[in-house]
Amino acid sequence: MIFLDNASTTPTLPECADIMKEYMTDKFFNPSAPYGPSVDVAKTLDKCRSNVCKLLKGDGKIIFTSSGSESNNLVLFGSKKPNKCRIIISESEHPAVKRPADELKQRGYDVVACPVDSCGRVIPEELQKLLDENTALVSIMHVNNETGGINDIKSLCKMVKTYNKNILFHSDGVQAVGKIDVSLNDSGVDFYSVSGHKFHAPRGVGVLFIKSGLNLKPIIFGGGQEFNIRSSTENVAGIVAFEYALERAIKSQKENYDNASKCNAELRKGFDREDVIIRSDERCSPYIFNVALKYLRGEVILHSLEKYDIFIGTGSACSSKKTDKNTPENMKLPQEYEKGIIRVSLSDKTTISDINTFINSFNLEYNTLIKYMRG
Amino acid sequence: MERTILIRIGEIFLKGNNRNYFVSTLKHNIVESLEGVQCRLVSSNNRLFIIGYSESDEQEIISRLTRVFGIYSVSPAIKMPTDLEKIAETCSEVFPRTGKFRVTVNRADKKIPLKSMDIARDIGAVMLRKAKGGLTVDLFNFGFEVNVDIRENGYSYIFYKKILCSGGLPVGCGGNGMLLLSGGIDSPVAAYLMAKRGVKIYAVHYHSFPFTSEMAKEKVIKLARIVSRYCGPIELAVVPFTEIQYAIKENCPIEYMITIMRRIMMRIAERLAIEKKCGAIITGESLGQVASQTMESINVTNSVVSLPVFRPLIGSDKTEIIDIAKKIDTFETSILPYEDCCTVFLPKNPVIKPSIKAAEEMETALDIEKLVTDAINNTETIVCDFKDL
Repeated sequence: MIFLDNASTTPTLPECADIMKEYMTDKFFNPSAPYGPSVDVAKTLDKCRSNVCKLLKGDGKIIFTSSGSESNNLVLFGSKKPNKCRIIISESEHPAVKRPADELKQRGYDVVACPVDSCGRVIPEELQKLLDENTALVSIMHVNNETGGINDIKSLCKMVKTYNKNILFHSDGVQAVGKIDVSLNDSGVDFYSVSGHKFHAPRGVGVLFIKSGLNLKPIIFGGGQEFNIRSSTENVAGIVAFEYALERAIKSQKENYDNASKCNAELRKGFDREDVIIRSDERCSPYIFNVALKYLRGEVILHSLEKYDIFIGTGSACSSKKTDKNTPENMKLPQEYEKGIIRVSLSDKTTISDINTFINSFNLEYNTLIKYMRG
Repeated sequence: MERTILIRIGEIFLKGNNRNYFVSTLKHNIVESLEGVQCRLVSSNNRLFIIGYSESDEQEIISRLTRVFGIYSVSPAIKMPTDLEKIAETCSEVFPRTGKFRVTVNRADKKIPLKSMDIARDIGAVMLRKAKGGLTVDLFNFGFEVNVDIRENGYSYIFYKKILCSGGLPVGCGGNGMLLLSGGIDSPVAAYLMAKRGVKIYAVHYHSFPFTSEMAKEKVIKLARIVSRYCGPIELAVVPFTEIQYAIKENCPIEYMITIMRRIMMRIAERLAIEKKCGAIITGESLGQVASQTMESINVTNSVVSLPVFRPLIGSDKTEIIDIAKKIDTFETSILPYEDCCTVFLPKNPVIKPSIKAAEEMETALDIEKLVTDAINNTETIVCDFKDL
């Protein structure tokens, strides 16, 4: 199998599965219980927490959640902000930020979306224009999930804080962590969301980083776990596996990045043809490669590659069941291309030979299918 | 005292000498629909009852019975020995204690000296007294009607709810039908309506992988499962259609694409129908809804088969069809946005008034017999049962 949809999810590492088994069976204890084995589990949990914080180079609290989506929701709904204040997101945010922002708009907040370029990157001058005295929260993703466009969150955050240091800055880092440099202290962000299953941790574990001195109101109330910010009995097995996968990803990040860059260059060569628009430019994360095909629907080529045991994505899997009418102006495509979006996303395990096999199979199928399409 | 559910059968009463056949089919369908629930179906004196179930299952049993065609209505009832005092007492205990009501007695047991009206009056009096002013009698504008059915075997049934069911005829006694199931809104509704007239449903779906996805196929299976709550398990034939579409696209004029596709679909459906001993083909066509459903188009697609084609929606508006789809719970699934095989190669300007002669001429460019046989040979058969939902 050649799996090229790693931006949607990645296979869990066997080591993670082993760790999880241990913490689901032998060390199943509830970390909040007072007896010895529980205390041990609680200690492990704390160790994970501080190591994750170190790995993200942050100075603050780590809240374990169920997902990147939950982390995003927690920031948007739980951050302190006056009624009817302005909230700025980018036009190309993942639905896990966009939908909560829509909901806040319904509740009377002044939610505005900052224009982005063709790769979904925020245009800094546009962000500057949107900042006003009522702005309380800015949420801009680190790496765009569709194209891999990277926002310079450090300079965007600086711009926001220079305007008004009290504006809170959140970034959804789901596609960034483990792939590109993430240094939370240096970037100055207040909140940062992470999802484990994008770097071989199990699905069902996310993290929210909260900078020192800040707090959030819970959206899940209960037993007071996670500093009273996110109640629920901790998913210890998932958390320990998350920490393992994160450490591994960050330790080999440089080497993996070089490999992904080589694979990406090969993809660029392979798709250098006149009936294809390459949507991810050279400044994008090498892990995500997005192209639009003329005439052929992305879904059709996706299905026809299944028989070679090759799996790619179309757009973003989170929204593949809906047709998206909210495409940002600068990301719009000529009509004959707009249904033909495919997303090839890599992991540290992707090889040049995988990419070549994919390109060959793609060409074979594309050339057959295109004959039957309207043209 | 024993809980029981009284089943009233509908139109079957009209069936003279065939009555036994209809009733035994109905009994079989009832038993099948109640599989997995601890209970028994019994019949006595031309009536059907469900007995031997626990109180917590009563709602589930009733909800399943409302979907069995051939049942007019059901009533959860209490069966007790015919002792008029005790009956009156029970009525006052288990039935509502507020509102307007009437009592209706049906006295089959003529050994009881009192007349129906008198018994009703006595029971009503006890209920009024026990309700302490909460109840009033109103023979015409009543909120609920207490029924007391005094049978000849020494037992009586008391009940006050009559739950309307699906009506129709028991599935199976109207023969078999082969449904063209697309995944849209109309065809599941067509299946429902024909099943309501007693037709056992077989289905065929045309699958154009990779142009239509595995999800589109799963959607069709799900629709068949939902409909099977009414018509029993459906045997679904999934026929690979891509090669046929390629052949048409390569050899025939694009504006006849859909017409010729549908003619081949009808041919395949008829072959499968004959295999499954179906006496008719069923489609969800509604006159004029799309280019392929004009009178001329229907004539051209109809002309390749000799079995009758039932189109129960032919005179229905889309809104009427949607209303039924919502009622039978297929609507939400039908509107999931997966392409079906007809939209994949949809020409910009499909022919609205095709002719049989033109279609026949164009088809000479195709080896229809081979295309049809190959498709049928590669058919996948899936039994769709609501229990797998």
